[in-house]
Amino acid sequence: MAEIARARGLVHRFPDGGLGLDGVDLHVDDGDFLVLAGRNGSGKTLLSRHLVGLSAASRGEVLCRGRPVSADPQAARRTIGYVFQESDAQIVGQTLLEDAAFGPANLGLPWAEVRSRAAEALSLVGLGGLEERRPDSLSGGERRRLAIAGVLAMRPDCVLLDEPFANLDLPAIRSVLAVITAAHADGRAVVVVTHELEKVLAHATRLAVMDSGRVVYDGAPGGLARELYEKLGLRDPFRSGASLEELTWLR
Amino acid sequence: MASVGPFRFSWGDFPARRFHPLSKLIALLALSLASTQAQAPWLPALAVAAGLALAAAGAFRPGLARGLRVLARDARFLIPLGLFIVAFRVVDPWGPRLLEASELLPALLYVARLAMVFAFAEAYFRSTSAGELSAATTGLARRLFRRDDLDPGLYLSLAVNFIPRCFDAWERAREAALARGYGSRHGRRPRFRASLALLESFIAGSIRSALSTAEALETRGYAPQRTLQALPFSLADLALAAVSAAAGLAALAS
Repeated sequence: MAEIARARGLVHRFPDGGLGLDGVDLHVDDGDFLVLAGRNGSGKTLLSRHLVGLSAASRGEVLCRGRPVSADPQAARRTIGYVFQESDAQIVGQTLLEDAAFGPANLGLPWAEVRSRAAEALSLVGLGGLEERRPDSLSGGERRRLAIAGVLAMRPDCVLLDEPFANLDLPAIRSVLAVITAAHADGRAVVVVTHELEKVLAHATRLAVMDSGRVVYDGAPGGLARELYEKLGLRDPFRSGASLEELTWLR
Repeated sequence: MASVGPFRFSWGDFPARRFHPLSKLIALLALSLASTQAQAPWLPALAVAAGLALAAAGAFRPGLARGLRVLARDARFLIPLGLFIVAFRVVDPWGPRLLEASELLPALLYVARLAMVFAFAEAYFRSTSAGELSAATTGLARRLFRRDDLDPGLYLSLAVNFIPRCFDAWERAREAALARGYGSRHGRRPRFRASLALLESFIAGSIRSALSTAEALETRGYAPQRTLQALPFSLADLALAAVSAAAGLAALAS
């Protein structure tokens, strides 16, 4: 499997001297379904921002397809589609189609191709037929799916989602999870940044856990010692005795 | 997200949606100009034109009564404005008479003209999305200046999307302040200080919102050379623009 992104010895120091990231080493490969977990303030979102070139490293580097992200952040953003936690911030169109078309239009494709990609992405996330609706008429879960559609329309190799289940009810979580697993089944790498492991771990191929700006675990989804979950600020997803496969929220 | 701002675009296949945003814009400007110049005998004809424009924009698709109710709700800002105009022209405390009844009809004519302009604008905003106007504006600028890296339309799109976010930021700041006792203290000074804190919170929220919009543009690969929505300018567009421009010029000449 080819490597999509790699953080190498990544350090992020805030202007007040505090350490946001403290020598992070992490890679994302083609076909990965990586869950990046950790307590609030552990550095998950900051690392995500580095992966798409939204933050500058104090030391170390981030590579995307072998090239430094800082040298060509636009290329990194075409390879890794980033879905913000606040999906409203990501919506720039006045209709669903306009919004989903914004990304492919920036790729300079002909309008017919832009339109077809946008319509296809909306259909993939279950918003087909609503192309002319206004984003402000959608529910929170639908808006999150629209944000994912806007990224999928650019056909990135990897979709990176920051807390995709935050503030959603059960049906909305299921619909977003279905979209994420479909994107992975479609051949894309997926990185889900979350502290709600139980919602997504069943579908992951890898789990990475961050604490105090470091990656303290990177391995199989069920491989983290159970006594460590609480210590790392996470809820043990296996506490009910369920197996990894039984954890899925799609059933 | 609150639904505010001038673009009350409604989806659906309405006749007015098939026209190019710029031909509709010319029609809007010309008919608004004609409305502001029109004398009383012309008002019924203009009212019919405004009604047709609103119907073509789908304003009465949910039913005439419901459509009129929605229009009346959207037009309610005209009531205080109209009352102010009438009062300003009719009441004259320094004149020989307190009430100048002869000014009532001209004042009402003025209000009726404003209502016409509102109706034409409403038809425009209901049938044109900000994205379409943005694409048309950028397309025009690129053609005029022969540069493919110009994108003035994006600013329009951003402004239209940003206005509701500012309202949201204001509402959030106000509700947070109310939940913490804002407005319960008496005295000008404490109230003034509380208002300043509210304003500060609103400005901070708006700046955060602007920054996240900028980051969203970056992550979605914004490029000024972006592909524009295909908006063909047809013969019907040409006819609409020409007829409206002629009407506007005739109104100016008269």
